[in-house]
Amino acid sequence: MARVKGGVSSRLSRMLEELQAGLEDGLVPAWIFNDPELFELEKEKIFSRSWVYLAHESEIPNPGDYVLRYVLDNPYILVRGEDGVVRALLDMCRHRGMRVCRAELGNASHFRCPFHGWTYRNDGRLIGVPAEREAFGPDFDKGQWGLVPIPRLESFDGMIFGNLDPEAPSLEEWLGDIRWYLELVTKRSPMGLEVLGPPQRWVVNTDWKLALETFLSDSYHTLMTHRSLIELGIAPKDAKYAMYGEQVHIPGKGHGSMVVGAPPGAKLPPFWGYPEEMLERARTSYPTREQFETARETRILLVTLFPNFSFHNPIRKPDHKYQGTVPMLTFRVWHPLGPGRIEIFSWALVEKDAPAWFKEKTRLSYLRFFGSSGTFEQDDTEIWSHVAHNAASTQGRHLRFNYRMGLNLAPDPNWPGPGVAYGLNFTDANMRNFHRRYLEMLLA
Amino acid sequence: MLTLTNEFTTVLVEKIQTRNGERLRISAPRMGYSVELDPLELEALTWQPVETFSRLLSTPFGPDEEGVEARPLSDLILFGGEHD
Repeated sequence: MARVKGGVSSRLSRMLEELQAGLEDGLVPAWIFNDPELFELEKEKIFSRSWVYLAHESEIPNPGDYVLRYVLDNPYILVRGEDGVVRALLDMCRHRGMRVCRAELGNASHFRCPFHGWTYRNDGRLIGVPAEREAFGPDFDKGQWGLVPIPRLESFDGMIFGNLDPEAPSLEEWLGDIRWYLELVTKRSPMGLEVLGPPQRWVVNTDWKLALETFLSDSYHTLMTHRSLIELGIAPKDAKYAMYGEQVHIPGKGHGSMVVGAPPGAKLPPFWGYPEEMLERARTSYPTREQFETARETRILLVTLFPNFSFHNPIRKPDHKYQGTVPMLTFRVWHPLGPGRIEIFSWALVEKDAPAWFKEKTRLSYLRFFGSSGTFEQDDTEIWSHVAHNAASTQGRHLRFNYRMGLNLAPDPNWPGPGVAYGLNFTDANMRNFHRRYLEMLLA
Repeated sequence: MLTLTNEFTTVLVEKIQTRNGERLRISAPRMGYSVELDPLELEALTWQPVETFSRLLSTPFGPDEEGVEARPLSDLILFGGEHD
């Protein structure tokens, strides 16, 4: 029996009990993918307590650089102060709540409210109040009225996360063993990563969990959703190519990864097809030999952090004429806007010390496949929107989805990394683990 | 040549001449499959129940390769990877 504390209707309470009752048997009710009341609970119990990815350090390398980022409907100015420190400041004037920064990115030493002119330094301090003495008197203490920082801000290998809960566990604890898989990308080069421009953003009528699941666990969909790429000769001929890998999840955390190798007999270069010089650098930049050996056998890597961050790092053949392969890396935030509605933030990234020709090729590879107009992206978003629609339909609300793939698989005892691994990527294990964590937080 | 298209696929149908007779070529250009049926095979199609085609459609990419072994990736890591 689910324990749902205060403020939750008996209707929602019954629905959560249904999710709880079916999960271990691989049954997930369709309604969780589009429900206004559940979304309100997710805002309170999940997104107000979780570490949410905000930005990569390379987006704001210099003093004054800022980008606007969002946790739920809260806009935060993520800005590097003149002192070099990165802060996340709520974009809300302390006087009447107007936005003090309305560009999505820029460089500013100060932010000035267009309503009454209160002006803040880029470290958040209030430094200017028009007619201060006349209007507020001689005792007005500007030190009490700075921009409000996000309750928690921490970073991991250049990835900056924020948390609305001041009591939240540390980012390190939150991530746990998934760090091993994050490092396959963040420590591939001793120089780390850099973004290739600002994120592309687009709105999709779907649920954040649905989009997330695709990157967390659903290698099975490539068979049909991305069939067009197989027909075009861009994806491997074996339509089951994403099956040949390990699916790993971190129990209790909700995180997961898919580490895919080359299909049997496929002549694909090692190490995702990154240039040889990058492979050589990786030999010493990875913290462990196991990570290097895993990276060398990897052709597609996906990592998803609970609740709404994913990255995808596939080997790619840019088009049917190009003889070689060019991998690409995209970071994703599945930003929830409302029930059945998300905004996708999508970045392309590359190793800082990658050769210039490669940076350009990988950027183009990203645009063709996973940019807003990319082929994969078009395929996925069209489908996600219909699933969310059906999830909210009168009949769809009574159905349960089948999450039973791989229910009887035994873990792979030889996997060199942490977490629970399965030697076949056609399984819903990561999704079931995600929903366990999801339920745990909703019921907490 | 006839082209038949619906939301799932496109198929070309054409009568072809061999040295000594005729066949019907049915091809699926996007998948790269093609079959040339003689009148007897075509006749046999006329008494097939829909179940026959359900069975043929059980694999959406054409016949599945037999004997493909999906080895765990861990077999290749630290245990003598093939690196090709």
